[in-house]
Amino acid sequence: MTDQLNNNPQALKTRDELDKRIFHLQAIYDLTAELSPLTDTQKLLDTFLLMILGTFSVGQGFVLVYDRREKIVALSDRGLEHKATLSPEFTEKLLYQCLDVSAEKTLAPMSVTNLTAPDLFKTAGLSPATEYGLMFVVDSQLMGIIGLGPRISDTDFSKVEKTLLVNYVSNFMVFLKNARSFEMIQALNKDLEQQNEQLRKTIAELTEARHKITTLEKAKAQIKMIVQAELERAGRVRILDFVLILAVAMLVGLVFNFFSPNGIPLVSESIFRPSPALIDVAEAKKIIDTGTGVLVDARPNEFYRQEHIKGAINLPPALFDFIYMMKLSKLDPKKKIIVYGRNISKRYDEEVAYRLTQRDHEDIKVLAGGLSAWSKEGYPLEP
Amino acid sequence: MKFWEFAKKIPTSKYLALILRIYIGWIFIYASMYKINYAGEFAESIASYQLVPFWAVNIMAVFLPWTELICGLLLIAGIRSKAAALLIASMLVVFIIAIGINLIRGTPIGCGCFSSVEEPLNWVTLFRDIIWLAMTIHVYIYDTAFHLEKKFFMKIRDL
Repeated sequence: MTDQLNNNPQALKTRDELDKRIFHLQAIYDLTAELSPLTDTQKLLDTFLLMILGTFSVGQGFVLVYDRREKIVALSDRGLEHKATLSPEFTEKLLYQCLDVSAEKTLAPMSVTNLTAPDLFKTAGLSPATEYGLMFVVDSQLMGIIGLGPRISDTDFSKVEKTLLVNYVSNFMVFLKNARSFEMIQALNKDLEQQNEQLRKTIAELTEARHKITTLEKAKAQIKMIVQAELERAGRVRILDFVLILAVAMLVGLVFNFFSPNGIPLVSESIFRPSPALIDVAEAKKIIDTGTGVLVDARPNEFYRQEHIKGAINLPPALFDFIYMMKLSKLDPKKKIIVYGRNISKRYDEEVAYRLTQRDHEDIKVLAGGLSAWSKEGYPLEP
Repeated sequence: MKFWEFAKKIPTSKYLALILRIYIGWIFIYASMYKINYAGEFAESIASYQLVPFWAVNIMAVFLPWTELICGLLLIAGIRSKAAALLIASMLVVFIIAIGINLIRGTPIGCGCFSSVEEPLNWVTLFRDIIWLAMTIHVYIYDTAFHLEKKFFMKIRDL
């Protein structure tokens, strides 16, 4: 059976073909297995390039992907002698040129097309020699090109191999799309996280601000209360007001009195004088009756006129000099003089007694108990 | 009708209180002037009432007129005017009691209210002081207009 097969060239060819198909299926399976766990565009590109280089025994090549929306150029290359830094603008232009030389000139999503003039890449600085080029379009915003150098076996790509390559690229595009989506989701997630973080910060700041406002409001209320209480207090009558007014009056009064020409001693001088000798009413009566002494009423005239001891002479301190001259100047200085007249506020008797001593009178007595003691004894009064 | 309502408001009016305030303040300032200058004569007046112990007569003669003057000034200016009104009222109460006692005693003295040369104390003096006391109480209760210190405090209240 095996021999029969071996001898039949048709059968051999078919078997060979089948072997190749199996190999291709195996290769596609491997590619799927390799690419499926990858979510990073650059790693995906690297792995995919390695796979096609390995599968088709190519020494050098590159895969370029361009994201038009984000203006991102991703490039994976192997064996290129030098490569230019590809700006988004340049890449976009290059892709248009590729579209121009592509076999189908289409931008349909998930399409792969051969490039008829792959030496175009050379001008872009991508390769010293490109044997085979492909352009793929994932969607209107995501597209790319693949360039492959000469094969190690130095043979051309067979039709089947070209189909396989297209299958490879189609497969790759699915993963690329997924990877881009994943990246986009990640970017969105990251963005969301950042926004969340910012939101959290804002909320924290707001909370803090609210705390601050509450505190400030409390402080404001407290200050307002204090100010109002203070105003209330200021509006009311305080003990301090009286103390202040009285203290100022006292101070100004003292100062003014001290400097005034009409100033008076704060305490009557009579306090510091020796108290004059006293005489009781009975004895005084005797002296008056015998005429051996003179009785002097020292109170002001109004009081004297109201009531006085019979026979007393009115000699108030205010008019002392004048009345003394009129009535007593001719009196014998040796003659006894009895003075009376005092009240709670004024000791007229002491004052007049003092002044009489100043006038050289030798025997001056003050009536003990004064007018009231006299009248209590029932002695005569006038008027 | 309107006139009647207006008339009803007069007794408690702050402007009546203001007029009385100035009147009472002026009386106390005027009364203090002579006494301040002639403390000796005022001391005699105080003594003539026979109520103050003799050692306190001169101190009172120096101190009382200045209290009258300061209270009168504060009352007119509207600075601590309630305290000033209270002090003036208490002085008037003291005067009324002193005059009353001496009227009952029948002491032949002058009032000593403004100067030493005056008609003797009589019931009119007492009645006059009672009227003044009533005015001062009115001032204490109803006076709120034109206070100098409020010009300052109002600004704080505005804050």
